[in-house]
Amino acid sequence: MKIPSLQELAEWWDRYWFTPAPTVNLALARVLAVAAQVFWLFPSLDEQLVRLQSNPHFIHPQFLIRLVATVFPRETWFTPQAITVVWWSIKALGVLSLVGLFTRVVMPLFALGSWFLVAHRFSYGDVHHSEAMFAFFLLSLSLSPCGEDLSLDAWRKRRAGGAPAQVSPLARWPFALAHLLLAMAYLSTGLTKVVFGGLRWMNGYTLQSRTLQDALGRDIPLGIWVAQQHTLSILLSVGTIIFELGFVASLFLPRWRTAFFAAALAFHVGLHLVGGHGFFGHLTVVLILLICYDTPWLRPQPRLAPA
Amino acid sequence: MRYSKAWVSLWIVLAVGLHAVPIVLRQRQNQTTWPWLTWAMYKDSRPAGPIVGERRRLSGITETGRPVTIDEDSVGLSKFVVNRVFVRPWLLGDTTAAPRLFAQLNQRRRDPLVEIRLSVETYTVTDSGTAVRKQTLSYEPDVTGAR
Repeated sequence: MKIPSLQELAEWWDRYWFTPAPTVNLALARVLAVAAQVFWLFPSLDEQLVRLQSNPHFIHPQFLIRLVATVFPRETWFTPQAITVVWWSIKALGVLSLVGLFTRVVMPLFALGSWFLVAHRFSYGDVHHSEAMFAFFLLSLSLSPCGEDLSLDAWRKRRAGGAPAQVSPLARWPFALAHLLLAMAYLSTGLTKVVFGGLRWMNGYTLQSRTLQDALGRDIPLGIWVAQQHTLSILLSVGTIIFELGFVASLFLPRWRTAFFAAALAFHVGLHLVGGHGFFGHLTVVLILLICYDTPWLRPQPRLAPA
Repeated sequence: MRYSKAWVSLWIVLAVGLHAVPIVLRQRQNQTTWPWLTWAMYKDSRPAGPIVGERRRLSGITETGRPVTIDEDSVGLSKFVVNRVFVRPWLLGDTTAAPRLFAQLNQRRRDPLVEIRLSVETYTVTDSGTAVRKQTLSYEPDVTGAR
């Protein structure tokens, strides 16, 4: 077997991440992601304030919060007034990102601000996975030319006689990275189930037990019913393992990517309906990939999947 | 463009590569590396047998006699933390759990609680059907030996 040279690896890297793509896909992703964050997923101010005021100190501070608190100590800077001002500022940055005004500056601040609010919420004793994938996607978008279309920036550029880029080598990688991270996450959950739970994870009882506990805690009649169906639980367990272990194949089968994303969407909707697992950030990323990633219906693609 | 690609490449490497950090740190329950997390949710399995689940509700009576439902906002912690730190120990007989929860709840209330209640419905699913058992624990700080 021939070992690829550094030059060949660099070319492969360039092809995989930086194949030119239309900026309109990226711009649509920006509009969808920012709208979802501002109007749906944005951490609640009440929750931020209640956590802050009910606890004299952080319980398990996230690294990001520890970093911020090193410069701005909690006792002095983490006050209800300061958090309220920060919250509204981040919301305002979100509105500017949505309309695409000063996108290059505003969008990274908005993404980092959103990271800060979520990390602050998760510094009081518990942390969840539901926001992680979306956080990566939002920050990735902010580092890309996502304001080159469907934005006031593009309008201003055109008015000034310039021409916003319609195709860019930096317009595809945020989708490719989100896809890779999704595949890693599913593979990791699937592998740990197989390694730690073994084949017994698919005995039906495991899923029944989990579903009953989650559905009772969240008052979900459908989940309570599913938890009492043994055969159905076996089928759903097997389906879960196949999906989680198999999703990684979508990285190598670009033609089937849409089907994999649709399956992921169905998987999360199912988890929500049965167990109340609100992976809405995750769901938003999957939906955006389904609509925007190398999709031909927005504008003709210069070149589709990497070689 | 070359410059931008280099920065983007660095971010890609960090976004992917730093996922090794929580694995190396071996933080299971209290991960502090968000959004870089291990994705080992729901990994444990269980053997065949009756399926048991609980529905737990916290409520209280205020000084003015008003019954209130205790939610995340009243405690200032998520329901997962409340369960882990207060409810589960209380159910397991830890006599300090209820007083600790009581103190946490009353620290910011204008209308303080005088009693807290924990009601638990235990569902047991077997081949022959589903059985439900109910129990209520209560705590009043002035009543000696209250449960």
